[in-house]
Amino acid sequence: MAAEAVERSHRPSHPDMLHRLKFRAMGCEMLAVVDRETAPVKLSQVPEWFEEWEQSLSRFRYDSELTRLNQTCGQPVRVSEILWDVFLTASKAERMTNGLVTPTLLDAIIEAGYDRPFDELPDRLDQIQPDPAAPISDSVLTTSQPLTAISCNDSSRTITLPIGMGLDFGGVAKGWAAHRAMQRLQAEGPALIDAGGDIAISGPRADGDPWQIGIADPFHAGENIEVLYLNACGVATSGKDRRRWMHDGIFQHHIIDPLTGHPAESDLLTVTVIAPDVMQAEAAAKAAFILGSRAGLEWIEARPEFTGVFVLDNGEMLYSENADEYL
Amino acid sequence: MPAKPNSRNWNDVQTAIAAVAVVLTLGLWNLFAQPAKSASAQTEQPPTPPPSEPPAAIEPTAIPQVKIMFTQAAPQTVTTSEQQVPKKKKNKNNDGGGGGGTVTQTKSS
Repeated sequence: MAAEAVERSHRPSHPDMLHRLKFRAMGCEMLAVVDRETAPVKLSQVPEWFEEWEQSLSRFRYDSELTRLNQTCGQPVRVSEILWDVFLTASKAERMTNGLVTPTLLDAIIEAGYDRPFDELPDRLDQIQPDPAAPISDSVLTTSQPLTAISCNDSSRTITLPIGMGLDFGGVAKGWAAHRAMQRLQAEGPALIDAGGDIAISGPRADGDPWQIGIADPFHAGENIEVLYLNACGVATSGKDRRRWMHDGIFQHHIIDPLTGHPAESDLLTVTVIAPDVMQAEAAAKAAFILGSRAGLEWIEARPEFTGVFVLDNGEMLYSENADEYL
Repeated sequence: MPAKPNSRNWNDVQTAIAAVAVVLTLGLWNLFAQPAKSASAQTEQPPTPPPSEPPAAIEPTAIPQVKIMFTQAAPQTVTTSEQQVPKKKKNKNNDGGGGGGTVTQTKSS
C-alpha cells in the first residue's frame, strides 16, 4: 500500500485535456475529439472535410455527385476519388454481410417514406419509446439488385448504374467519413470521431488509458446501458429506436431488409458492434439487426474480430462471448 | 340713482360664472379628450411585431432548413478545451448504468 501511495504521488500532474469540436453534418450531430495539452490545429478543419464529403455523397442534395450519378442510369460516369472510395467500401460491406447491407435499396427506402432528410419527415417518431406491438409493414418478397449488377472500371474510375437502380450509401458513407476524419486527425494526437453514434478511435488516450464510450440506453434518453473501454477500433450501433416514422399509417424504420424490400422485422431494438474499424462495425451492426437476435449473435460470434452487444425489444441484453474484453 | 352698484355686481357675477364655465370646459376636455387622442394615435401606428418575438418566427422556414443542409458546418461549431472528469476504473462488475467519465455515446444513427 505504501509503495502504491508513493507511485501515485510521483505521477505527473498535467491534466487530461480533451479538445472537442461539435458540429452538424450528414443529418447528425458530430463530435471530433483530440487528446493533447495544446490546441490541435486541424480540429477546426473537420467540419470542412465533412462538408466536402457530404456534397459528394448525399442523396438529399439535388446537386451532389451521388444525385447526378443516380440520374444517369445506363451511362458510364467518371466519379471522384471520394465517391469511388465509398463505393468500394460499400462493396466490401456487401460481400462481408452476404448482401444484407447494400446501397442498392434507394427505391425501397424512398417507398418506405424516407424521401427527404429525416429532420424534415412529417410523421417522424422522435421519442425513443419502442412499441413492440406496433405493426410493421407487410413483407412482400422483392429482389434487390446486388452491387455486382453495376459495371465499374477501376482504371478509369467510372460507374455505370443499371437502368432503374439508384445508390444510397447511408450509414456506409457516415462510417467512411468518421474513419477518414480520424485518420487525418490522429497526426495531432489520440483522436476520436463520433459521426452520429458511429465512432472511430485512433488508439489509446494520451495517458495510455482506453476511451470510455457509453452505449445509449434505448429506453431512457441520455443514459448509458453499458460502458465500453476502447482503444484503436470502431464502434457503431444500429437499431429501430431512432429514425422511425409513420408512413401510410404504418410504423417504419430505416434499416431495409434486402430480401423483402421493407424495414427489417427484427426482435432486436439496437445492436452495437465493436470492430477493427467503424466501417466494418456499422455494416456488421446492421447485418446482425436484420438477422435478429439468434442468427445475429451467431453471425457475430463466428467472426472473432467483432464484438456485439444486443438489446432486444423486451429490454433483455445479449453479449457476444468476447464482450468482457471491453466492459 | 342708487341702482348702479347693483347692476355692476351682477355683471361681475356673470363674468365669474363664465370664467368658471370656461375653466371647467377646458378641464373636462383635457380629462376626457386626451386618452382618446392617445388611443387614436396608437391605432394610427403601423402594426409591428412584439419586440420579444424573434424575427425568424415570421420568416419562411423552408429555405433556411435547406440552407442548413448545405452549410451545416459553419455556424454551430464550438471548440472547448476541458479537463476530463475523473475516469471510472474499468470494472467487469459495473452496473452498466454509470459512465460518468464517458467521452461520448454510441447510439442508433
